[in-house]
Amino acid sequence: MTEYKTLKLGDSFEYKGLIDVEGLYKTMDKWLKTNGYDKVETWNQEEIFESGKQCRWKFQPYKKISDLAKVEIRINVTLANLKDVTIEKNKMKHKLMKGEGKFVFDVFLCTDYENYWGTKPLYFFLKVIADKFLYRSYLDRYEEAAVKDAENLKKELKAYLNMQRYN
Amino acid sequence: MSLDIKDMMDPIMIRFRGVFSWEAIYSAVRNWFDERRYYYMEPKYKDKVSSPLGNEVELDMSAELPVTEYIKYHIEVSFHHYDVKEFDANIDGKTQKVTNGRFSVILKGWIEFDYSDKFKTPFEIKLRNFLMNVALKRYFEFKYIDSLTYDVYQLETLIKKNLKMKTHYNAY
Repeated sequence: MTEYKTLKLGDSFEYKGLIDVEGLYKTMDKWLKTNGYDKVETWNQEEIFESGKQCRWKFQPYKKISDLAKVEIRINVTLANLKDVTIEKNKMKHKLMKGEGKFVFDVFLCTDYENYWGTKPLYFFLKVIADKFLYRSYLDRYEEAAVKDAENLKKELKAYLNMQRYN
Repeated sequence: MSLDIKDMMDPIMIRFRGVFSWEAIYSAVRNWFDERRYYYMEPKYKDKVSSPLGNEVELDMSAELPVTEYIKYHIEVSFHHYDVKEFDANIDGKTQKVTNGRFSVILKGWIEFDYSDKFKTPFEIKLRNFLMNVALKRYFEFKYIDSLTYDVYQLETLIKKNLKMKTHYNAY
């Protein structure tokens, strides 16, 4: 049985202004690839309303650290009231969108994701003892890495959106 | 008896509302399967008048590709359209048929091992399971499961491109 340990829940930021939606998606996808995450895009929605376009994306990228543990970051992105805008920069015209965005990050550490240790009560007991006492320091290290990854992704997105950030 | 690994990837869902060219999407997906030599099937095509707002269309596409004598890829694409209305529009000086409505697409990929039933007796099946779960587990993961997963993501990107969605990009 896979055990999910919640490391961060509902960590979010909001943005209002000019958005290059294509660029934002590319930035996120590239970041996940370069940092060794496997892509899992469970939901991608795009709807056109009178008030503008609305996009919703749900990602669940994961990174297998070992046969025992993997890190999963769940990202929910909602972009609303998007309207086309053309801006001029260095005598070049750029097509962008103007609207609001909300980004929510949840971070989990999943242990025994291949269900090796959940088949019998004795195995499960041994696994819990190992997690709590023998592998504690390893798991702590994984947890730190997972939270740091989520923070780095958040920073990357904020940097792309040109938001003020604090390091 | 063959061994199916159906939970190798989470299903991918695209939802869209707006104007799109159904013909373009259909032919793009069909061509994608044909280029990769998949055997293509259409188990369901339903078109019914459900409300004054438009028709409800359901289409299931299913394709399979025998990669080796032991491994077969399966891809399933399910379209479900609501409030579908077709009309002619002038795009770049040409009159084209476009569709207005909303729809969802679910893409799934899975692998069938030992599809030709070569491992038959209980002992042979035990040997096969040992190969699958222990000896060649990582090999199958890297060589076949990953490859099919990213193929499905490519197909997803193709559908997004034809819908002119903002997220038609795939880094993988």
